Amino acid sequence: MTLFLAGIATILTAAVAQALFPRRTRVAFFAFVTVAGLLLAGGGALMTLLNGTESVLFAFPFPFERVTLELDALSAFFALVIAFGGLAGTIYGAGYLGGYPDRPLRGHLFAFALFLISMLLVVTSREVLPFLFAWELMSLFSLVLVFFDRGNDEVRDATVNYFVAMHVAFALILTGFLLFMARSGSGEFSSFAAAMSDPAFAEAALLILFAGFAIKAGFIPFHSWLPKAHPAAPSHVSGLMSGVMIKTGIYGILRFTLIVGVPTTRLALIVLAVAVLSAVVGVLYALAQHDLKRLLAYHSVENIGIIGIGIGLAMLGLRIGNGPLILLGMAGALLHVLNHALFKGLLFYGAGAVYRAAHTRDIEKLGGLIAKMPATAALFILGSVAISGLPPLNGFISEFVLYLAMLAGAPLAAGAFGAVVVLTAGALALTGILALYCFTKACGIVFLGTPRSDAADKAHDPGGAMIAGMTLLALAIVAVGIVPAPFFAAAAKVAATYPFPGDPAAQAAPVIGTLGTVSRVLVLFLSLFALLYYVRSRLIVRNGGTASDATWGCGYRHATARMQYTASSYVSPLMALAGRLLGLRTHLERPEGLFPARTEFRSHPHDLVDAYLIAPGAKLIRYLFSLFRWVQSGDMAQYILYGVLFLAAALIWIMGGTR
Amino acid sequence: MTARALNVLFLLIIPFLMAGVINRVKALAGGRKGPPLLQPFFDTLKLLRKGAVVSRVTSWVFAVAPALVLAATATALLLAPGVGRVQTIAFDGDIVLCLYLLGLAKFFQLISALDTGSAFEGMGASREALFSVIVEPSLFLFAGTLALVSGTTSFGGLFTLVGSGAWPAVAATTGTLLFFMLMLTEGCRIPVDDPNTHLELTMIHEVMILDNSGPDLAFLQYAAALKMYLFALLIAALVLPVDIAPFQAAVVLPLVALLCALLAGIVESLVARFRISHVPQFLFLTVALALIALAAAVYFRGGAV
Repeated sequence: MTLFLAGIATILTAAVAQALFPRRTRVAFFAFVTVAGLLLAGGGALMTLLNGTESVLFAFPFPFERVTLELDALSAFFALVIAFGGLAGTIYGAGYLGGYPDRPLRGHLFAFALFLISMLLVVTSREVLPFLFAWELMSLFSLVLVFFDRGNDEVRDATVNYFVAMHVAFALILTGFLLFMARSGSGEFSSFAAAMSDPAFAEAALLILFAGFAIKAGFIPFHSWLPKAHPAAPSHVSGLMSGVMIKTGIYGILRFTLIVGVPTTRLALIVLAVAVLSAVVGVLYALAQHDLKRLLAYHSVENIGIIGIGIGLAMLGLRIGNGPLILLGMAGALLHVLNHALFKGLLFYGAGAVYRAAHTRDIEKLGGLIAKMPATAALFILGSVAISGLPPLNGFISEFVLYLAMLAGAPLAAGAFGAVVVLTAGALALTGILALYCFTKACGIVFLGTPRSDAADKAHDPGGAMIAGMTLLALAIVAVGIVPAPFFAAAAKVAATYPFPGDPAAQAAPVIGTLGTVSRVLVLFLSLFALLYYVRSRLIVRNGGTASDATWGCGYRHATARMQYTASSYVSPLMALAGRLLGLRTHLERPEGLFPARTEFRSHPHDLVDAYLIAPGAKLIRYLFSLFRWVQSGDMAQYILYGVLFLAAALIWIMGGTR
Repeated sequence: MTARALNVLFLLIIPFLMAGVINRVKALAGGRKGPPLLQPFFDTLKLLRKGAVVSRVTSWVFAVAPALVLAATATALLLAPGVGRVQTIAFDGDIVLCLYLLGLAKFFQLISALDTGSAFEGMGASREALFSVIVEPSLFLFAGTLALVSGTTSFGGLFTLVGSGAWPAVAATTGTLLFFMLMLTEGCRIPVDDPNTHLELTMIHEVMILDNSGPDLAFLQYAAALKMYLFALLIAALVLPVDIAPFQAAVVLPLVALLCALLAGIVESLVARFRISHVPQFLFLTVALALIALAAAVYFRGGAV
């Protein structure tokens, strides 16, 4: 805990002291000190995860009364994810900000540091008021970070949208807390459990809290802000928001399941349904996108859904007393929290490098970047394999644990619950294969083939700091993928703090053994691959080597970049099936006449939740407020009349009181 | 140990034989004599003795993909139930790793096709991806259903059909149909795909590997044959008696695989390829089959909600 606090203090020092440095060395100094602070905080969290809960109490005057910071297993796990994600983001960001030499960046760096600190405080606060305070700081400072590119209308709109969404979430969370506090009479989270003797009341309060945290996490249909804000932010911030910040919503959901104990069946099924919806629809929306960062943002919705599937299964397990569902569902969800932070950070940073090099996020204008930016391309492809949940990388490990939860949990679940679990496995498989579809599109169209624009043709790899930040994440991705057992053990330790039937350690042990076998099979696979590649290369050399020629075009030898398959055409068979469900709008000008001059096809992805839920809602609110517009006429006489009326009313009221 | 050695031995022979049988059946149905049964094997050997022609557009992705596809597919086959349902490597949840290794192979097959920058190969990749999207959930639904009834999570246990009432019969029927359809789909056979067409526009798997040559092409063709063999193995594990003796299994297993190939050849001789837009309808049948099996499992399992 001392280390953890020292880390926070160090980051705070960096936040303030950077302003005193000259612009030339400011970013480097800031990055250096912040990295040190994050290492300290992460080290503290790691020690807690190994040794057990620690807490420290600060006595504050108004308004908090008392502030307890506590690191238990759950908090330590999230603190570690924040620290490591923040570490890579800071290093990458130091390189990325090199592209803005004429901006002073004092405010940006200050907001960046405070954003990191507030996330660490969110996961360690134990009373309502300090938690909400840290939560609001996190929202506000991330807002400042999103609003980096100020001249851009799209960025401004996204920022306003984000601002509103975060405060709707804040209102919901506040309402949920107030309901709890009304019963428990205290603002300490630990007292909430006692308030839960009335299950109907508890369910209502939890649903309100879930809705609030779900907005932050980005579950469908609460996701509307996410695909707007993440692309608008500069890439080092998008990676952190998508990889780390939205996990605080997940943390909130987990923290309050923990306090309350056994959830109702209905609540568990609602969480599971929302999670499945987010996973499947999130990835379908991602497939329809042409904007690389928007595509990644929708994948965050999908991955939050996968995490939610684990949480939903664990909640169902808690309800029906099913050990594998609780332990493996929760451990799978937590592992995916870590894994998503790693690969989504990497992918956003890769997208940032592409944007810096080619000045566009439009997939259709890119192509062939693997030749121009080999390091970025290799790292992005690695991240893509990981996010598609494929072995031998980390995404596979968390999905494997989730499948294991379902395969082992289903037979122990009575009647229809078993079928629910099996159907969830089908949904997870659908999500996985759709992610594969989407990331073959992203890798294939952006990095492979030939450049579709001049900008793409002139692109080049970014400098050392950006590559270093990405490499750090890539190494972690490979480590979790090949040696998963210790990471699972840590997640299982957190999962074991839930009300568990039987001995959690005894149930985790065989899974650790299984993961050991998995890593041996993966090593076997990699060795086989290396052997086959060696054999193939030797054979080709021995047989006369490689001749190079144009790509086979059925005899046509003058193919141009514009004749390549595009991202829209790659996903068009799926969009023909699912496009209508997604609200995809297409525009087609058919070729006409004997010498057709101009033909055109365009497709616009279009979010149905935005169109049918958010937009009408906003319109309704605008209408309701417009009813009161006459109050503000701008006519001085009218305002004087208000004053007179008020005085008259006050007079009458006072006279009424004295009588 | 013997069973495991036989598993590996079969991996090296039967996939080629299956491809040979399909070709022979089609030839006989067309009134021709047809090539030798081991012709696919000889073709592979010939390809291994050739150099390679590689497109200027391609990168390292194109170069590593064939070896990676074959390594992933072969490792997946080591996890599958072989002779007497004995797996060469077995552990809890091995079915997930097996199917996800095939997913990895698919990932690299698809991006290697996109690496050539050819519209034809992009088209093939896009169709292959779509078909997988429909097929993949049915596989996991069926695997989950087997787990629901058997209470195990490893291939060998999952595919040992025991249970009350008509469950084993229902599971064997739906499963065999499901895996046969998947064998035709993933093996790129008619009615989903036509491996012998002369028009790149109508091909799916073959068009994705248009630019591969020499040892790379040999690897990819062997990997494709291995994938067909995988589905034959799954069918064999479902239909062969639970208490079959090991030496009987060693004889019967290749016969079941070749029977699958024979049936695939007959289908290919009798049925025309579907229009591309109709293939998804055909593939949704696999999802329906998996859901029927799930409903039956819940019904025969009994118990209150």
